[in-house]
Amino acid sequence: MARLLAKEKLGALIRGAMDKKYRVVGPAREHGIVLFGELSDPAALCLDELNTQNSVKEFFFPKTEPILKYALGKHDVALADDFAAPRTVLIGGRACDARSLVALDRLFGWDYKDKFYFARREATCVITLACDRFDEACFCTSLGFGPRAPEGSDVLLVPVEGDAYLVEVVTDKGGALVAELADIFTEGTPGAEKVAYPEKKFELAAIKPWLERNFEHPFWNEEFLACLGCGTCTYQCPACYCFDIVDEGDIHGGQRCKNWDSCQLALFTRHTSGHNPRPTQASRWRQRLSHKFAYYPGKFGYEACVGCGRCIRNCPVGLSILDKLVLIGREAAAAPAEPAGAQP
Amino acid sequence: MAATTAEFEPKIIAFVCNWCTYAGADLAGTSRLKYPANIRAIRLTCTGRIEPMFLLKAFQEGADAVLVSGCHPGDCHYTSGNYHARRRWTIFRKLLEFSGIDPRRVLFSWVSAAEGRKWSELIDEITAQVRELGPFTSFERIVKA
Amino acid sequence: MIEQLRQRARELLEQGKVALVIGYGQGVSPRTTFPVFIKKAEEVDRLIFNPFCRNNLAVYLTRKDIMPKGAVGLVARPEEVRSVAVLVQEQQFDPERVVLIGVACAEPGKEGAACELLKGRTLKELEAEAAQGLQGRDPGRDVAERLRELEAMTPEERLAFWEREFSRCIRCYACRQACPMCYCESCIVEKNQPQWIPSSPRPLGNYFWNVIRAFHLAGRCIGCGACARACPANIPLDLLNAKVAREVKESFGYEAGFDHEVPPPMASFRTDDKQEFIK
Repeated sequence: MARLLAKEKLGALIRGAMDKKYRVVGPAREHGIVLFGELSDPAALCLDELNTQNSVKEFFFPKTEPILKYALGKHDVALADDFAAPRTVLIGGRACDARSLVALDRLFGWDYKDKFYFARREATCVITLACDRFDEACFCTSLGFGPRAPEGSDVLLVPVEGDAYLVEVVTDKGGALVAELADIFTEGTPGAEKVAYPEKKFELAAIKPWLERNFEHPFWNEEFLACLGCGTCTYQCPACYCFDIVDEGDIHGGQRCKNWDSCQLALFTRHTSGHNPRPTQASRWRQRLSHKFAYYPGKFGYEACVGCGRCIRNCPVGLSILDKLVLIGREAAAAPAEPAGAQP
Repeated sequence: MAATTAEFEPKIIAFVCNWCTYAGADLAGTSRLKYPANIRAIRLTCTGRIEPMFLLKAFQEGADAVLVSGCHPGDCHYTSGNYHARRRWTIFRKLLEFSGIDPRRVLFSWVSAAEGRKWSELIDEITAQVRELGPFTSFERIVKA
Repeated sequence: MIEQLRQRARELLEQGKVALVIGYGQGVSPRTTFPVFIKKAEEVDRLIFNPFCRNNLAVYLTRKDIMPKGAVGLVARPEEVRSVAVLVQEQQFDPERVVLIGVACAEPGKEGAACELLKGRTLKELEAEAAQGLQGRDPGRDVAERLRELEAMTPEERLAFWEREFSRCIRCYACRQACPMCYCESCIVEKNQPQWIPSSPRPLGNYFWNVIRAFHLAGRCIGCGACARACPANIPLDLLNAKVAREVKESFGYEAGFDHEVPPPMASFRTDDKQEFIK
């Protein structure tokens, strides 16, 4: 016997959460694309697409966020720091999205605990849907987890035969929410699982060592010529976290904002002198791949990539990080004893 | 911002060229011609110097309307600055209208150094027109969002 | 047609006339294509051309980090031809540095539409062929209709429309990066002394950014739509550019990219330009 949720009861689950004053965030169709957004109505939930165009990152680390507000008085400056995270149920994300939260927890909780991010994490219950399909851009299985991985989720809904989900409670927070909405769930014998696993495309263990040894490899100058240097991949990526802090205001007051920033923009590393230590798109891509697959895992034990494929699907010129990882994997297998700093 | 239209005093920012319109406004002053104090003039060397961003910034800072004014065609102190400006405004005002700014809030004129009366009458007319339109609350909403 | 395209590219590379051919290659699925960079004659078989080739390849011509010394070959639809014309007109690119391989599709985006090689060899010839080909063809019934819809609204309604659209803007600058005409080494949005355009992806900055970019493209945008296709948030920013282009045509009788030898409309003037809106 296991806890089940009939597919047709998903709407009731959302309605139940809304009735209990949770903000509910899930995929909804808007302007021709499916985006994670605050649902106004359970009927707005749209699970037609494999995954949303944007990631759940927006709800933990928004694209723009005031971190403090200031008002200039006659003799003083009044600072306001009135931040509160709304109680939220995030439903309809995938295992890749959930895993990105675990990866980001490492960074945002590293030497300084980012109160904005963690307030949102604590206030949010993540209900993940395991995937019953995938496309050529998905590669979660190549990163050592898969569409049914529970990491980062509070509740995992696994599609099973009989138009239902097997409900797995992953954390206490998830258990509390399930208890709150107990009457929506049923007990039963689950049908066969309908989870679809993409095949592994490359050997993850070979990537980091290759990256560490091949900073000067001609690969960098050859494979990324098409890259336009926009920020689409980084902004849609659930595991990218770079930000810029700006002050916006006038003589009366204003706010200090934390905004998404992208290492793919030329301005990212440009010094005031005009010198840019990453002057080419090739060097910026080298940074991106090395960061995600060497530096970040070296420091935190997690790749800063979850194989969701959004960067691939959204890239205006069809550049695929997966293709490049496959290439690196082949290179690494063909010449395993590549000397450090090989000259082009 | 004033609560009702009756109390509302529009803020109109005027970007004017030094050689013609600013001198014309000066002449209105020395001639003791009265005109509403709603206008705040910003003096530039030439209308050709006016970037479209100036107009947008004026709206960001709370202007209810913007006026751009300079030398008559053929009289530009720098020969052709106002010809270039004219082309820019032709397009920019249409773009502003298309992107949601009421064209009655974006105004252009040629006022020469001798046209003190024209300046004062123009400001009279524009101020009344913008007072009718009311404060630019829809843009204020975007600024504060 | 594709064999002829590949043959031309092969010859250019074998004869050393160009060091690089920029064209389109096949993506993962039949409807996806992406830019390819061919440096060796034996790789020309990667080149394809079909109705789904929509990226504007001229964007790479001003990329100093990838352009080789010497000339490049460019697979050029009318959109690329016109973009090159504007780059040459603005003296950003030496026309001797590009060999254009003219191509065209009868109905871009439509599966099975006919594709052909253009006859012209020089920029001037291709400009004329592009003009001929586009004459009579409705460049976007869809665009014209959407413009009409917006023009029928009041300014308040339009402001609300754009505010809603721009609320999705994440300031990724894919629009700018995909545009061959956005080649400024220091874009206005990067200036912070003063900060003309707020960098935060909030409605005000997003509004300013999109409006100013549309204005900076006045008389320069050729309507390829690469910006709107690149936008990950599905914002119809090509409508702003289309509106500006239409105003430029109506006011100055000018359309960008058909003649690289005439002065650009916003860098020139006529003493009798219309001015009925000026008091």
